[in-house]
Amino acid sequence: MSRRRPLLAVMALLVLVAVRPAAAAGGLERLFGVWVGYATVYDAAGREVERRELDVVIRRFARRGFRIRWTSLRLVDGRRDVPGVVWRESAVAFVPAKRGGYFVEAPRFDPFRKRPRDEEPVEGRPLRWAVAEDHGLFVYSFQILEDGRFELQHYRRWLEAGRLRLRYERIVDGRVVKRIEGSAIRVAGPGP
Amino acid sequence: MRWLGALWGLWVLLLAPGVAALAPEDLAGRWTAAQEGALSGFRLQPAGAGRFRVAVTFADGERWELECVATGRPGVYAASSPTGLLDWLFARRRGEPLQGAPLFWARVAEDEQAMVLYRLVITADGHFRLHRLALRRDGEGLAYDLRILAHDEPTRRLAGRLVR
Repeated sequence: MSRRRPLLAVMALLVLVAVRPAAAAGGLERLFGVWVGYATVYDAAGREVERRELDVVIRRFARRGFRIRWTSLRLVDGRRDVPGVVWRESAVAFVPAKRGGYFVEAPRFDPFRKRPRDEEPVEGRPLRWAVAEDHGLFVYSFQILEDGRFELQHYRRWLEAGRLRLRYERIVDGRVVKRIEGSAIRVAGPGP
Repeated sequence: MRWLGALWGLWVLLLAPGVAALAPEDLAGRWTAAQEGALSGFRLQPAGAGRFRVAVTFADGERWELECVATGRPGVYAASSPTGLLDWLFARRRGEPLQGAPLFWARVAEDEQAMVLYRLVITADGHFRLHRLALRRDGEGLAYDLRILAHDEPTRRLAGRLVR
């Protein structure tokens, strides 16, 4: 019996290690896929400013991380085939933080770029992190601006009745200056 | 004649009492709560050119104590860097919230005639808490406006007054 004890301990450790990513992810896999929908943009006073088409792709990245890519298309009078439409694309990949319970932006390889990691946050280096919980995926981008004010952008994406719901806020020095709310349906699965 | 009028306007602007630049030293001293509120005390002590020490005590017992130094950005101050041997060996730097160290900074807000202190903390579960504490002279006292932003919570705003 005593000979088996170390073996059991090793097995228990292996099970713990295998379970850890899923625990940290907090149901993240449920959001994986390709989503298309609409978003509405509101200004600081809560007035509707514009409506956009929205595509979001959330996929696995580097075994235990995830990558999120989103595009938005600002329509003109509800149309996308007339001059004045604006198309934007953004992407960011996250990997688990060394501290455990959240994700940090995956380092990007670019030999020609100044090493931003040498800068301190107070010098303007942005901080990006994400938290996956049962009630949503939270993505944060924080930066200290040139004049010392701060800008915090946060996204919350969550599932509701089979749809992906999105809420975004851009906060400058404590005031919400922009808010986006949207909803999308899944058109493709998690992918490779 | 028009240029003379412009020159006179500029002179008046320069002399106007509202445009005097605020400096952290203007808030120097030891201040305590005038009535029950979010803050119970505040102390600011100049510590040489471009440096000051600050201590904030909250009613719930939380306390910040740090030394701020001027950065290369006008009116922006950062907590002074750790200078111990262990800090050097482990490349510890000031304020790395993603590694668990609180990030402090301050700025002089000319538009509000206030000094604003900030503290960002990210806990081990990725939740953040960001304090924005604006302090400005209010007669013989010190008025404060505290905003607390936190993960998945609405912003809280608390205001009050301190006296010397």
